[in-house]
Amino acid sequence: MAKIELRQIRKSYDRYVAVENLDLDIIDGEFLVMLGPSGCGKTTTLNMIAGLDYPSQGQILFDGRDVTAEPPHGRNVAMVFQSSLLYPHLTVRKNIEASLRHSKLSKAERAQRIADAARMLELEPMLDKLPSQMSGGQRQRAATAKAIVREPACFLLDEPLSALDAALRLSLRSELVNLQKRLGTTAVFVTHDQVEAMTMGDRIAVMSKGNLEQIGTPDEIYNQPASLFVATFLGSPPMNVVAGAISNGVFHAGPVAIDLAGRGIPNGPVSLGVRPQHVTVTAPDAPGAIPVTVYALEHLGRESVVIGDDATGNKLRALVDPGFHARIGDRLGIAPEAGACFFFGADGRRIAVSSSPA
Amino acid sequence: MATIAPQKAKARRRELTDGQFALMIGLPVILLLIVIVAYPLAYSAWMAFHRILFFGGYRTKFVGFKNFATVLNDPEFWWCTWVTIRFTVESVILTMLLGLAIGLLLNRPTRFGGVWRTLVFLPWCVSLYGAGLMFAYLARGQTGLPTAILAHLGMQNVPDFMTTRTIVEVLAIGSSWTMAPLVGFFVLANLKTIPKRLYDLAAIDQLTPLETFWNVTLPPLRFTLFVFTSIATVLSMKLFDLIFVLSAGGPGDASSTLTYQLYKVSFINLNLGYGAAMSFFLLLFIIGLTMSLYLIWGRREKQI
Repeated sequence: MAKIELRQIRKSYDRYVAVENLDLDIIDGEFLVMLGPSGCGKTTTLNMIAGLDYPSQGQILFDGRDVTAEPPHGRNVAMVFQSSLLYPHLTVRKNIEASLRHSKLSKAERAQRIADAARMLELEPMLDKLPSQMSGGQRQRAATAKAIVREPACFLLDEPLSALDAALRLSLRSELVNLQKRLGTTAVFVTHDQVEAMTMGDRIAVMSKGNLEQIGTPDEIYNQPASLFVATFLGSPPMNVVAGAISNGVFHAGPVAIDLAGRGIPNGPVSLGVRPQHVTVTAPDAPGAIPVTVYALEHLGRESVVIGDDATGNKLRALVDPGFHARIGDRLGIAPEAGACFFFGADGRRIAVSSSPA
Repeated sequence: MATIAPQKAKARRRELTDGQFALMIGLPVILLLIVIVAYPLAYSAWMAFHRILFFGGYRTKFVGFKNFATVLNDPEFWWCTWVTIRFTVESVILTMLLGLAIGLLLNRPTRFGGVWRTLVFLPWCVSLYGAGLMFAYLARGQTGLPTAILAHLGMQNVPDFMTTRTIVEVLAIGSSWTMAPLVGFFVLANLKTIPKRLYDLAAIDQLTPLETFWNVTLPPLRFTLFVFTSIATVLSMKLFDLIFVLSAGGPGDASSTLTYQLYKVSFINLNLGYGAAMSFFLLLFIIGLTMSLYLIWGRREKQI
């Protein structure tokens, strides 16, 4: 159990900068998800927390203690790797034991911890199996057991669920969170899957191109995105983005005009972001609606998604009732609700919310 | 009835059974094997039971197991067996250690990796004849490498390794020099299959470098190491060209392995029956040694 602080971390390989000026406070006992597309620096950051890689600049503190230059064994971290890596030639029991090999526990204590972990993760019947004889879900449980027997300062998880099928991922997601909450151990979970991030994290740190874009609770990240990147990366179906401009305090994009007077936004290009549940489908020539040509209609059961191309080929999405009918090529209008729009400046940072979203 | 008869007359073309087809496509190989393996083997078996005389007119005489009995009572045969074992053990151990070292070193990321790999692989491409000549020059007192080094340091010593005490070791070094690169490359190929993250897992588990080697690096190599130990054992026991060129079994009979002794008995002394009987003992040793390697080691290895 530990509070982890990253201070001005920078990591570069030759000329390639993997992580830039990263400041991150991980609260004791929280489940922090690091979210971002591949190559954003999230795994590099995790490796640096683990001590598998060292920052080029900056400091890493565990409970206030500087561990920047310490190898993994000085930090007492446990890590679960992508596709639940285990030693392939060792049985599950031996794999779990390997975690404790260099601990100062007595033999009885070790056996007790392994037995407890095996019971907690329902691994008892397969302790003597080799990883190759087990299913993906069982391997994932074995890797988790291997991590918890150490009673580490923190769990580091590097996309452990990415190689599993959808149904299994769903059940293991809640299982992992439940386990982490019961143990109360700080956990850092790296993923590129926004659904995983939203459902599992106490807080989410969104990264892009080596920079921390935003950190906050799933609610903050979703409802108050700090940048266009965060806004479009989270949410399914993704947020609609319409390019436009501010002139005299009013946002214009084709037929769309939203009054933002009194917020002191200077004239210039601005992007409007609106989630598919905050638009209405109208006739193509309705006032305030962007005319689109229907590109596809996706049925989700509880609702459907209309995808339309506007005049510039930009795809706009709208959530509609499951009974909605449209054929590909039909002309429709998509009108953003003036009260639920985000506005992003040319640098991608959010500059205004038209009002608090519903 | 009238409708069935014409169908019967028009019987389908006969198809080959699987066995017949296999025999058909296998026949060329079977014939080749009969010519190059079965016939010589049968012929030497026949020779082993005969006394074959060339002088005073070629004639043969059936002598039963007399040749085999003579072999067992021949101190020269037991000496050669000892030389063979000493050479095989040294050559196999050296080959495997060198091969492992080559594989591990080449697996490190280095500049000009391709150039290193090519250079290291070259010894395997050198003919045993050439390697024999080279090592003879290197080990000999007048032209040897140690002599050159000592002379360079200003010493007058002429260390000669072509002596009765060290010639087997010279041979073992020469033979492992030619075989190790191949082992090294198979080791390297196996090392390339180890996920990098497994080393990170070992670091998180706080394993020592030795434990990491034992638990991460070695397991995928073990099967390959067993296979090549077996191959190197067989190749070492039946090695001939290198010995023929490098030491010709000498000095005296200090490096006379069974293969060299066989050559001497059969083709210099022209004692074909006796030589043939001896060759069956060599075959027996090779089978016995590889079988025990399998029973002691190979049975426990499986590919991961």
